[in-house]
Amino acid sequence: MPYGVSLERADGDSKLRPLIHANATPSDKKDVDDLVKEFVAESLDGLDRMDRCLMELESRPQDAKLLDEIFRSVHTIKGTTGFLGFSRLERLAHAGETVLGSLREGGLIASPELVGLLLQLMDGLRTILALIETTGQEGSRAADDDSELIALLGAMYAARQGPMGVRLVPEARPPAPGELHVHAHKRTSLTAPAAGLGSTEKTLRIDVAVLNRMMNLVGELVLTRNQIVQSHADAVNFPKLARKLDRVTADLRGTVMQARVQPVGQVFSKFPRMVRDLAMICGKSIRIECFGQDTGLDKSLLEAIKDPLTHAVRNAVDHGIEDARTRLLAGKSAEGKLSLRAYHLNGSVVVEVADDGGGIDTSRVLARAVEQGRVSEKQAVAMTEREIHQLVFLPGFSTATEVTHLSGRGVGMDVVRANIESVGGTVEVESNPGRGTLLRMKVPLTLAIVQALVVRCGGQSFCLPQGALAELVYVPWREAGVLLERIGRAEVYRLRETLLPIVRLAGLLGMPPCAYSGHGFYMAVLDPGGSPYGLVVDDLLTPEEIVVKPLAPLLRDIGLFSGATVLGNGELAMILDVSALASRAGIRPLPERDARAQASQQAEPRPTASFLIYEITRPGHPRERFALPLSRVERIEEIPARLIEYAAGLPLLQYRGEVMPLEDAGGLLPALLAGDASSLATILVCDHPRPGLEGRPALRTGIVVSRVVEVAEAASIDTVADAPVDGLALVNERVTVLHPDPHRLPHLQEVA
Amino acid sequence: MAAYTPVHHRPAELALTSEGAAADLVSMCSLRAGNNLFGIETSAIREVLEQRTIYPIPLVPPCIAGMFSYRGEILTAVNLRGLLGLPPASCTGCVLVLDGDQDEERFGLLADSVEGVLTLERRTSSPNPSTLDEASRAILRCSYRTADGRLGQLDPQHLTPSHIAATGLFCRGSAHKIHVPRPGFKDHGAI
Repeated sequence: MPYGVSLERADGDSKLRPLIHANATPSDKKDVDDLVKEFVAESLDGLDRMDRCLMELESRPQDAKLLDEIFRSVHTIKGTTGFLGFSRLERLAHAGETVLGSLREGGLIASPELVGLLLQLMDGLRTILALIETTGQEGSRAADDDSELIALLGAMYAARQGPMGVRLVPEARPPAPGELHVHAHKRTSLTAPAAGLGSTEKTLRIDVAVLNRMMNLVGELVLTRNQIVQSHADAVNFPKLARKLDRVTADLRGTVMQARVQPVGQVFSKFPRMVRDLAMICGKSIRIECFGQDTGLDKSLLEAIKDPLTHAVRNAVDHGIEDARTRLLAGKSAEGKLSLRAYHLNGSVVVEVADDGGGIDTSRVLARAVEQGRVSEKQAVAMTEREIHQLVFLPGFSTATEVTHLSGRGVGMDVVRANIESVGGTVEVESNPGRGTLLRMKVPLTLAIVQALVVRCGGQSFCLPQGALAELVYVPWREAGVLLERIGRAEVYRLRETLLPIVRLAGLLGMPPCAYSGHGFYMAVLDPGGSPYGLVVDDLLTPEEIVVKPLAPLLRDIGLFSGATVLGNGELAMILDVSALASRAGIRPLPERDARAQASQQAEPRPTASFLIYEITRPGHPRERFALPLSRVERIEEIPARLIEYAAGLPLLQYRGEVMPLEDAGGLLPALLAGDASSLATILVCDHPRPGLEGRPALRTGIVVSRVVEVAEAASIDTVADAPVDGLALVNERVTVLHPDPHRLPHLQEVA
Repeated sequence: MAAYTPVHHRPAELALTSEGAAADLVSMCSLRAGNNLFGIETSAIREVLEQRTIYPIPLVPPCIAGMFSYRGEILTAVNLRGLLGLPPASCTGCVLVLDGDQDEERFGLLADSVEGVLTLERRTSSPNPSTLDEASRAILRCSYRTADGRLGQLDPQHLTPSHIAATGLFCRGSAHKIHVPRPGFKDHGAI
């Protein structure tokens, strides 16, 4: 294969190609095909790079380096097409090269019109390349005519400044900018999907170092295998070999995962161009900023977030950001800002799309929801802002009064949510009226390996993904009669005051109902997307990290399985699709559930809830007890005292990516910090809803305590009338200070 | 004339050696399901596995035996007995790993036993009789006369799980009640 040389080229410079082509006599058709395929992939790559350069050129029209790069790319395409005999492509590239040449020599200025025209040229080239990729021909039908574009380029060239600085009078006037860009958009929408298909989704660029590491590990794996084959289970070195095998496989897995991880920037990079085109069509001026392009994400997930992200960006441009006039009237800069951000958080990747537009008009959303009968008026009154924002994810929901060609058909946010949830992610929206909207998509780092619980049913093993698993319940027979009830043919289970519909896995899978032996049966409480149900299984086995394998189409069509896996004991098991099971069993999200959830939320601050009782003991001071509403406590943490830092005299703790203030009402910290480095501080992490800012994440505060005593039911608390201090109560016969509000500590200071 | 060669676990390799033979000879791996003798061209066979545990899959028609693991992949096993409408076999049987044509769809074929490799002359083949039932016609290409009786040549491309599902011929008459999914069933509740 004489073309192996081309593999060594790292950059896109294709000077080598014509040479190879001239030397080799490609009598074999396959060789030509290979050449063409490589040429197309390379050229598409080059065009993408040029797109980015052109976007930069618009902001820095004088940058000679950028101009050189663009010119070189087009020139390369032109040169190579000549050898391969694609005359249509060559003609178009030539027309572009002429304009670019003039631009490079300073005869033309990179005005927005010119950049628009050049982008159009890129699209034209892309269309032809896509045709070549799919058909092998560059197209010769009437529709495949570039004369219009060539004429436009010619006119632009004719309008260049003459060598004496005299503007030459063009024979044909270049069309007005508006005309141009609408045209450009038409092209984009037609060609972009076609061009994106072939080369990028099926191929992957991998760092050679990663590939080498993989090869080394495979070598080591083979070596270990050989040693194990020669050894036997009772041999002295067998445990050592097993450990080695374990290490090698773990390393290999890590390396393969690493190879699959691609920077998010790959997806982000197409947005500047898209936003520019869309903004032109909407008559808006929008600046786009990207952060965290280097954040890695599994290739398959990257593909999965591409569409939702495109949709979100389109939404932000069309609906989010207002036109310049409205913005100026609202006291904002005329230019809208759209930012894309990607970062890691707790083992998942967060991708945010934020705009500084008008935000979600909650009253309009609510009015529309009531109008469409999705929310009753009674419910509407009680809804918080955050809940109203979530309404935009309802299928078919749209507030757009008119359907534009960009959006407004009500097909949108629900699809975004469905796409993200199908890869095990979540999506949420935050909005600040008049200030902007933020769409946050959270996806797991990798798809291939998931945490799952192995259950048995009908003598077979099945996997339940941990993500949807809320809790596991063991129902003893003696209680089953009370807790398990029947309404018609439906079985329900009373779980803490809620009725949980029950689904029997064996029944759903068409297996004979198992004869329950022993003292009771197991039930997994699953909650896929707001419709909780209990799944009765024969037995629960271990939680396991499983590698998801795809299913044959025939098995996928059954609709209840999302994949298959090999378990630790070598057995094969199907992975259950939790939400499909629910819908097959006829479980629907309860409409009145929202109302109930609200009721329970409203009930939270009422003193009927449970209390956490804690103690503060300080040398030289008597022991005191305090009670804090349990709903306020997010977590109880024990952290080394040395992690506590001070700023402006206030103790602070870096906790889950935020700086959390610590309330040391009891004055425990000085003694702890003075102690040895390993001393632990017990901290109650409390969240505190910010009044008036319901949509925003709650603030956290840490309360330093000596010891957590117990959780007391409100019933066991007697308030003391005429107490010498405010908020005193008797909890289990002991005097306790009721913590009214973890943020009003001066009051507590007095008590302490 | 048919001549037996011993069972080889990688018939594909054998097929390579016999590739250079005259074009009117065909190398065929013979297998049994019930009393029927079948053959598959050795070039289509990737490997013959014996005694492989096949894990059943709920809600599948009887023509799907289940799944098994093969070199890190999980493959679906098509049950030849199920295709022919025969009752399940008493013994475990043999699995042939075959390559489908599209998207390199690899799958397994569960037969009662694999006999050996036969070299047959193409001219001894005869087309399917017109009275052959529709289901058998869907999987048989033609038949050969051998010393052991008539051998039906199976068409591997027509045995792939997706092809079987597409024909809809084999999903009827299942042993137990099956919830046949509605076409295009995409309603996943909340998703």
